[in-house]
Amino acid sequence: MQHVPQKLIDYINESRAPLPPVGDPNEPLQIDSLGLIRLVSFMESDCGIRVEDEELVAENFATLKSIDALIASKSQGADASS
Amino acid sequence: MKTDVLIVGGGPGGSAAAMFLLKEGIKPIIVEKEEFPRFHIGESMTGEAGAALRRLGLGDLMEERRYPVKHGVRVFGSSSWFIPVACRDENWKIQPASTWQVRRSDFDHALLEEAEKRGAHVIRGKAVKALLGEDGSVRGATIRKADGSSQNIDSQVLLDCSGMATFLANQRVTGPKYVGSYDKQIAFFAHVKGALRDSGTEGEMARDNTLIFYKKKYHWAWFIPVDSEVVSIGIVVPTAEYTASKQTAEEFFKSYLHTINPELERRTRELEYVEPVHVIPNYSFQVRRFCGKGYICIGDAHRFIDPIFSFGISATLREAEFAVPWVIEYLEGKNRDQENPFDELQRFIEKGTDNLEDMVDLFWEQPFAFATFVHHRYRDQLIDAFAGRIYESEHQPSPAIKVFRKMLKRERDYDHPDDYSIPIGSRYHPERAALWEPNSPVEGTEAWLKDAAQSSEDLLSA
Repeated sequence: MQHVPQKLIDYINESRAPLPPVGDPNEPLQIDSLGLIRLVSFMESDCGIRVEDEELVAENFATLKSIDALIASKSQGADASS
Repeated sequence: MKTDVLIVGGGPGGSAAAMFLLKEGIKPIIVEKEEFPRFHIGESMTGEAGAALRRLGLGDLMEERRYPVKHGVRVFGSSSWFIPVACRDENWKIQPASTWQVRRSDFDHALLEEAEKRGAHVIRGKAVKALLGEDGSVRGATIRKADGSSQNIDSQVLLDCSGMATFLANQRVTGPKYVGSYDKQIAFFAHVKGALRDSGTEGEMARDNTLIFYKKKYHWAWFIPVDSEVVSIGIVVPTAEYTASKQTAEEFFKSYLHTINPELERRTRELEYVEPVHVIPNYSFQVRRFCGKGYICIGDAHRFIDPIFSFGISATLREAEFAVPWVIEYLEGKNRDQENPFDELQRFIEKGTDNLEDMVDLFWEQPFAFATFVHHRYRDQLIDAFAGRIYESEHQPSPAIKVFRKMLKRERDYDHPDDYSIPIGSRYHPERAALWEPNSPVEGTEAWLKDAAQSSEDLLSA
């Protein structure tokens, strides 16, 4: 999960309480949609990761792996354009 | 018999059209086939529907009749959110507002009586045939009355406010009628006492707000207070699921009600049914070329999308109001040499309703994105859309609607030679395309719908 900042992982683990911290990157995060909306806010305001409107599909936030892939796709895009 | 304007249908669209015309000194004839009061579904209004009623001077009437005051819509699903009823002031700033919920039997009756009191001539009868001129223009209609006698009424303009009966489309005066995206659903609903409302007086917790509960795509319920005691509760599901259940409508309603959402279950534990459970198949459809020489179709008479966000009365009242200046110009002799004297009006209405359709579709396709947009990104623009501000004159399509289209991978094209693009519901359902092609094995939408209606009736009588 090289693209997911530690503070985002911490935030996700807190959001999931009382569930245990995420172990397997493929495990469903089980955060309700209101929680996901807050997660997106956190990514934008605290991690500086802009989430585009079109990226706001639940599948992108289903697992740690899918979040990682989403962030990775952004940095690749940035590399390509720079 | 002759009249400048003949209005087919005495529901809210017909009555409002009459009253907007009367404000301009034009006395129309309204033909209504049913004796009022009569039952009708579609009990909630948007903010702009309320504003249109106030422009007709009906604010006092609405208050006198003590219709529940709606401050917004609460949606309970995988995510919950609230959209307040709000208006725009002269500087286009959002301001709090309210609108109403109505028992339609009472509201429709009151509106028709008011239109009559103000000078509309109301005739009880059914429009059975459109009268056409040599150039194909609509010149009136044949009316069949309760005693079996018939009468021709000649008109300069016929306003088709016949609702889902789609009088002119069935007469094949308009373009074809297409099936929309939400045609395979069925609604069960009842008026009940004992449902738990919120207890506030304004805002999110106001007691008479609309509540919407959804379970998953195409499975949802409404909760609309219609007076101080009675709430209209409806559930909508794919017809196939009901068929498979092999239950009566009432059994299905009562058992399914508690499975949609825990919050709805909590509010409906002890219900007293004021009347039997009603059922309607939930057709969505769209009529092309719904305006032309001598006619304009208004509201459900040309398009019905999905009842989820209560746009029915809103669309019909606003279209009635938008039509009036065009009717007046036509009566004054303007635009008569044009192939479609109401082309511009038609495009204006179609674009507005398309905005609405894109919003409803995105809600179903991407609920998480939709909820995020409601919570931050596009809150004001969604408040506008929910209030019924969907037209070009109201800064639409807004950036939100444009994003919805992008996410739905959808483009809207208004430069097509046949006025508009093929309705989305047909374009995105290739399995239905055969219905609309020339030489199709199915005669047309009417035949198709009749089959669907018959199977629903068979279900109900079973």
